[in-house]
Amino acid sequence: MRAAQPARWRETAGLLLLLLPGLGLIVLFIGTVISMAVAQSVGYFNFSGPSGFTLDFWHKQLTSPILRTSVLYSLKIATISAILSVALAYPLALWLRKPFPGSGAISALLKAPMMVPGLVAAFLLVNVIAFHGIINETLLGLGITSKPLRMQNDRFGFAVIFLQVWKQLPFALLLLSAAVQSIHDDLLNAARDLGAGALARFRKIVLPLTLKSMQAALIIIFIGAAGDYSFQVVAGPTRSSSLAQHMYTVQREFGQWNEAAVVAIVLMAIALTGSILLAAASQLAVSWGKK
Amino acid sequence: MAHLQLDRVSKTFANGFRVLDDISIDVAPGEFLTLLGPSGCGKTTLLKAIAGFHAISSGALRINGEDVTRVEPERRDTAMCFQSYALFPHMTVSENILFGPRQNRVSKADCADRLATALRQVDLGAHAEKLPSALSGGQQQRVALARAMAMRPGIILFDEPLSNLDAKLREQVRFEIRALQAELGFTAIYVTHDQAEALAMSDRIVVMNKGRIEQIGTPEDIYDRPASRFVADFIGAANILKAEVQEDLGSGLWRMRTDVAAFEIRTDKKLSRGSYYICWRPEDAEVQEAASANNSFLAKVTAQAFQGNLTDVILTPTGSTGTCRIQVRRPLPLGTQVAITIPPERFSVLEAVQ
Ligand SMILES: Nc1ncnc2c1ncn2[C@@H]1O[C@H](COP(=O)(O)OP(=O)(O)OP(=O)(O)O)[C@@H](O)[C@H]1O
Ligand SMILES: [Mg+2]
Repeated sequence: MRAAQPARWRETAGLLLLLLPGLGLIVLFIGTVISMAVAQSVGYFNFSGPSGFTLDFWHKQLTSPILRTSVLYSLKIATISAILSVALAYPLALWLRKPFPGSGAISALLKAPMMVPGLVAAFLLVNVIAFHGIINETLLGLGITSKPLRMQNDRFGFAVIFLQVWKQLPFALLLLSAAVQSIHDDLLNAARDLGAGALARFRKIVLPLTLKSMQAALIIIFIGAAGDYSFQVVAGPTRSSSLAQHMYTVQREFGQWNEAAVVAIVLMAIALTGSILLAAASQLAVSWGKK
Repeated sequence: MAHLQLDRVSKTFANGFRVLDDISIDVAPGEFLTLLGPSGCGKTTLLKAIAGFHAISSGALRINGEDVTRVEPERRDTAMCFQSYALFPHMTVSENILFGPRQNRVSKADCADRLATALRQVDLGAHAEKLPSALSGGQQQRVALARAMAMRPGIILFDEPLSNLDAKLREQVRFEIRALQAELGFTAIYVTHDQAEALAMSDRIVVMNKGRIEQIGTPEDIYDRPASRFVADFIGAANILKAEVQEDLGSGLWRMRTDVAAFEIRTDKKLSRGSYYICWRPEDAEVQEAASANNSFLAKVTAQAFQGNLTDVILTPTGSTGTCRIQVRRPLPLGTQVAITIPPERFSVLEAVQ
């Protein structure tokens, strides 16, 4: 036993050494960025004044009502977008589980939004719903409305959520399709045979067996949507800003690099904790649904 | 107990492959019916059609007189024990077994009772809380069996449920299946590749070939009175000969000529002029030192395999190029000449030669 331990230790060390070039680089990059942000948020690397430790920037931002509304707004958009994308992707993935004539084309069509840059999509949407956009012109032309409806930059952020789902649904579909297809027919047949209807099969077989992919989709979509800038700027509400937008405003318009760093750290923390919470909640929901 | 009727059931897959061709079977309540046939002949497909996973292309399925052809699988009174096991990988052995009863809102006490019975029957009490991935192949197979039986349906569809068990366990579980059937009275449709199992367990056997039924009958029927060369050859060993009808000797006795010898053959069939395939089983041969008058021929011992309780002997009949198989108690000296006699009633007349 004793003789074996140094050998194992050496093996582990060797393995770490082999991983170092790749892993080390990643840790270095991420570590540098995060520690830069942290350092800046407490007063170092100050471009517009003396550098030195201070919690002023944290204090300013944490007491700012704009930060609070931005956090809530970004959380809301990210959570709704992630859940909605996954909720819409499941039925599609199940529908496309078995190939049928035309299923290949449908599946390709559903994945098309992945190829369209987000900003382009946002502009297209705005063109459609703008004050003098396609919908309003049509409604006016047909005499259905007497004056244009106000749909652009809606207060809740429906347009942003729509864009997020439009853009991220294909991604959720990709992940869930693979997971759903890996469930053997006989497994679903067995459940049917034992008396499980469509809903029971979904709750007790499909959801638990695709949980990992579902969580991956939720997390990735959540993080992406929490840090959104471009959809928000083009189609988002004018009164509330997303965290990324707020960060840019702080840096750009007020020249406050240090405060922007504070917002950046808040954003990262929100993305991390939010996605962990979302994953945990989905796990709970699935194990509860299995019963 | 359920009465299952298959009425001219056919199924063609989307690629045009006709996997079931005009299958009609009437399965009596509580009957143990075995499907036997070569790999790929459509046994699993037929079970899945009965369970409802495969829509059939034509024909009708009735359970207790009610047409279930279009009834959803979850509403049919059947449970299937899958060839691929199809265990739920995220559920323990107990959860797998209780899936059906819970789905059907069976009371807690009854669930516990069924679980205990099922675990005892398949001897898996020690593994109740394991996940399927932590079980051996044979153990997984037994969970699949227990899960189907715990449903207590009118009809259980067994797709080679014992193929992965060792001889001893197979016999034990076979016994448990029959015991449970006696107790609960379910109707069993059973697929196996093991002829001995089929002959030992079944009330009736259905021999299938390429999606069609070759013969339905009791095990004795199938073995002693095969209807075709396919059945004779598929079940047990058979010596098949071409025979030409020579004379009707009356009261079911016919004189027929083969290239081995002329035989008197007893059959219920009404034969017409022409040629038929006939067969006899290796164990029906009587071995003598010298040829007797009737139904015998001379042959030389060319090979043999000692099996313990008996010996398989390959013979070459004198004046013939073919060989035949017989079974005797003790090996014969290689190269010796023996006289083989086959009593008239031991022959089966198969289909006519086309
Ligand atoms: N979905 C399908 N599409 C086309 N052909 C199929 C399909 N499923 C099965 N088959 C074919 O149908 C035939 C019968 O298959 P089946 O599984 O019923 O055979 P089986 O008698 O159970 O064989 P085994 O003893 O090997 O289990 C096979 O030739 C198989 O290739
Ligand atoms: Mg099969």
